[in-house]
Amino acid sequence: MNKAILRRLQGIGIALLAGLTFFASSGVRAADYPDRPISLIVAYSPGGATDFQARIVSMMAAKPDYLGQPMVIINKPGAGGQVGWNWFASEAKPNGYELAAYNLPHVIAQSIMFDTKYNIHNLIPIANWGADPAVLIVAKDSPFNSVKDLVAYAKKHPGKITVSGAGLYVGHHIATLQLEKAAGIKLTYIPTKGGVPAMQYVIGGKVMAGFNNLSDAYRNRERLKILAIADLQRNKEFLPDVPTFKEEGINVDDSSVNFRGIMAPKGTPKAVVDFLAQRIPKMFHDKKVAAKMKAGGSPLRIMDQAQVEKMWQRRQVYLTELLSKLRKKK
Amino acid sequence: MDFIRYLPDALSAWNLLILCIGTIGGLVLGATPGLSPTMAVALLIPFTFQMPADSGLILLGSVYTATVAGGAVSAILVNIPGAPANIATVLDGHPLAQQGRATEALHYCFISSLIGGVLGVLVLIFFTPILANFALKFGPSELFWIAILGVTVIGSLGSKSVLKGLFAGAFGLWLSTIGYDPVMGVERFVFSSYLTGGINIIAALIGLFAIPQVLGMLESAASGGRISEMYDLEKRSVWTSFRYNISRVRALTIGSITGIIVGLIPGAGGQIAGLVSYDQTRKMSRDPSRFGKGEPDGVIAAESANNAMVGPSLVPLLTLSVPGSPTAAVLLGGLLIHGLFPGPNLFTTHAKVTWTFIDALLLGQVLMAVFGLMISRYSRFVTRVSNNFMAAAVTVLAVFGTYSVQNNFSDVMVMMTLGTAMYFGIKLGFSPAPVVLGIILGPIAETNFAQGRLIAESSQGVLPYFFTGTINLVLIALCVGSIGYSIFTEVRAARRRKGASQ
Amino acid sequence: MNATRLTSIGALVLSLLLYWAAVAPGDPRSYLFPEVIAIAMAILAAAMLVRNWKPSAAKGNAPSSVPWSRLWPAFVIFVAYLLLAQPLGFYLTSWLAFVAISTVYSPAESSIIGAKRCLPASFVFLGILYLVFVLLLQVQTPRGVLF
Repeated sequence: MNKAILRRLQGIGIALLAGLTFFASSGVRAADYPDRPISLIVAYSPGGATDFQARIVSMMAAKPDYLGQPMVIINKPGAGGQVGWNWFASEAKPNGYELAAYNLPHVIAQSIMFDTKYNIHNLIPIANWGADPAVLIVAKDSPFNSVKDLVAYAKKHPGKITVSGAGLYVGHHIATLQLEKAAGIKLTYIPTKGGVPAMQYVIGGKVMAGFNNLSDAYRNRERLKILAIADLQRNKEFLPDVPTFKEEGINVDDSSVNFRGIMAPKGTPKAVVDFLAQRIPKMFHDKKVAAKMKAGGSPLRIMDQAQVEKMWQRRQVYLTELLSKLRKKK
Repeated sequence: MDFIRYLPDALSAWNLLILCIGTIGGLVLGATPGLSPTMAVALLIPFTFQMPADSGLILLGSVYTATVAGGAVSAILVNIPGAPANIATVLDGHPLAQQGRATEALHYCFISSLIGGVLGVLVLIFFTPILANFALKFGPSELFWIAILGVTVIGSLGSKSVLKGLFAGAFGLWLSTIGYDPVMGVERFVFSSYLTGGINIIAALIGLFAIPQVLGMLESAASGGRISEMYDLEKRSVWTSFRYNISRVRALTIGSITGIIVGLIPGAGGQIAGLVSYDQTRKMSRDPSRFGKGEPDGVIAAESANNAMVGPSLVPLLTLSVPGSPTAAVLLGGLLIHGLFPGPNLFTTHAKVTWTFIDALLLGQVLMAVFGLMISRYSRFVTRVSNNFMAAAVTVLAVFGTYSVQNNFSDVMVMMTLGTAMYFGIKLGFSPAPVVLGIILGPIAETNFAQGRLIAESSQGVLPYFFTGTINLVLIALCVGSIGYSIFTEVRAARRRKGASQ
Repeated sequence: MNATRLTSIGALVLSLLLYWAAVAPGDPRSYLFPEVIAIAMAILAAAMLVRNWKPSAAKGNAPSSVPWSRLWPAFVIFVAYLLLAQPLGFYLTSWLAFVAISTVYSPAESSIIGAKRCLPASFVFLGILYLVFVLLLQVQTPRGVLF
């Protein structure tokens, strides 16, 4: 038996030779960037909001005015995005063919709270395509009709109000922390796996309130009361009647807004980064992209590289301070 | 009768063509280990970008339907469930194939899928308004008890010894706690960087079933082994199978009803529909000892359940945008891309697209059965492939399938390690199904317990939170009943054995 | 010492190890669940041990042996496959793994005949795989030096 197996090992040698000649035929050629499809790493599962928007904004990439090559979405989900971004910061080749989608404030908050391989110093932002602000929601039959009602109740009953959101250290969590700090109240934050159960628990009355994405809240507006939006301005397009927290007298800014955009790993050649920074915002401005995004109920907010860089820096400073208490507890 | 009014739209030549392509493609993808329905639908969503809304949704719907049934093909023929939903199908389906009754087993699989599937879609068509709010009644405490109900099934999952089955299930539960815990925000048991993302369910499923199967085939490969030596004997007419199948009313009823209920519950998904109905059918059977050795009822119950789940899992999705299964969650993305916002208005403002989609699901069930039954008779070409080729092909497929789930090579490493360990585990009398069930149920139980505890501590306290409320009490009663009945049958079987040996 | 008894002892040791791993980090809130599971495992393992203590009780479900002499090449191929898949590229290593497994374990008399049968099969199989994964589903696999 054993001998028979060993004898066959020599057969593998023959097979090997035949096969190598076949496989070796595909060579590598160098040409002007980009000369082959560009991968875009998405750190969330297919079908999620980030994935779905990344697919829309990258669908016109092959047009010669934009990148001249298609973008291929590669999903590397896990641990709230950490698996994909860790891989991106440590393994991705800085040659311009491997880019990733970022989610703010997740990327920065996670790099502050966890032992991640990424931080704002080894990632280069290229451009921002969208912004989904967090909104404070309660069920239709909830006794709270405004932020003031909720704050007054929380002052009387510290920690009794449960607030759901799509996980830890995501925009919804940041918004909850900001609200607690600005209003001087204590809430109980219930992290769920993604925004869908968080929304479901609010509608079903399993929690008393929740922070959720503006786009999802808008879709479910008939079953909800939307109390306030955690942004600097009202959203004229979808929810013109919902006040911002600042209008309600609570100092919550836009730090929890879920910004989505494209970034490159550190070490990508300057010429490539400049090319991308110039072309990608144009690609986001394409009419077809705007139409599809609007149809999907996803707000567009396009920012160029300089603007994104400034925003990243501001968030890093602010979040380090906001999260410092939680960090000490760990 | 809106669904009849829009039937001609689903039957236009172009849509019918898409329906056929989706169904055949879905069967093939579903039968490939590693390509679960969730993945197949997710991978196809970008293709629907360029299509009109109704055609795109028909493609997704038909692929969803067909992949769920297709997963049973590899379960029966090669002992590897194509998706978690097909785990229960393996238990009796593969023994049938080994006895040279592969075609028969496939017939039962597709006929039961058709019956369960059509019933499920009918529930979607007629009862959506009544059932729309059912999903909202499920919060963390209810979902926790559902997971526990799933755990009570573990003991009866094809292990020779109940204790070993429970031990394997508990080990699976423990494995599921590896990685990042989304509620507590800590990383646990990340002994190696390969484990950062935790243990992916599909990777575990492939590894635990496929790798021991490969090694088992290789044990006999060099002497010319095959899955079944009796492949020449089988000539089975669909009609004979059909008559037998519809006479199994009990298995079909239990399967379909369980599937429909599980489908309506958000988050539970078809992954446990098949297992729960298999367990019920076995417990209610006159002779439970026949299960696990090639009992057609096992296949019938499991397959009718996991297809019955498809329609109802769309009820909370279409009305509340709360998906009833992981695949339905991906389908939500597909709906949004075409500007269809789930909600009460969906059936009025977008009536045409919505009803065409639902009709396509109904037609998809029929086409799935027709094509499935047509390919069933070719099953002998799979079971007669000699083991060396089969093992090589399964190994490569396992690696590809695992990698493509999350584009993560760590998953491949985890898959191979778990699989090799399972091979030795099987030699020691443990079986893979309880481990996989543990890995599936672990996060459902733990996440919901942790969330429930946070909510409870801010209000009435942990014990009252988990032990009050109608649904909680019903679920607890079911758990107690399930455990009690298992003990009862175990004791009865032990007495009989004693009586027989004396 | 019979093998079933060893299995039960092994299971008990494993559960105690897992329990220790869950208790060691010292964060009772986040480690509650794994702790409870490890205790349940230990109880089950202890029950197995009690039940299998008498050799007569274990009759009929004794562990079957592992045919190492037949399986060692398979384990070697698995390890090589995992190690080479990223540096060499998925399709090349998969093809090599396919050829290696089907040739080594071929029931044919000589290796040449075995290889002759395996090569066409390997090309057909990988061709289909490439079509399905790359062209149809657009899955991106790690590309190595060759392919």
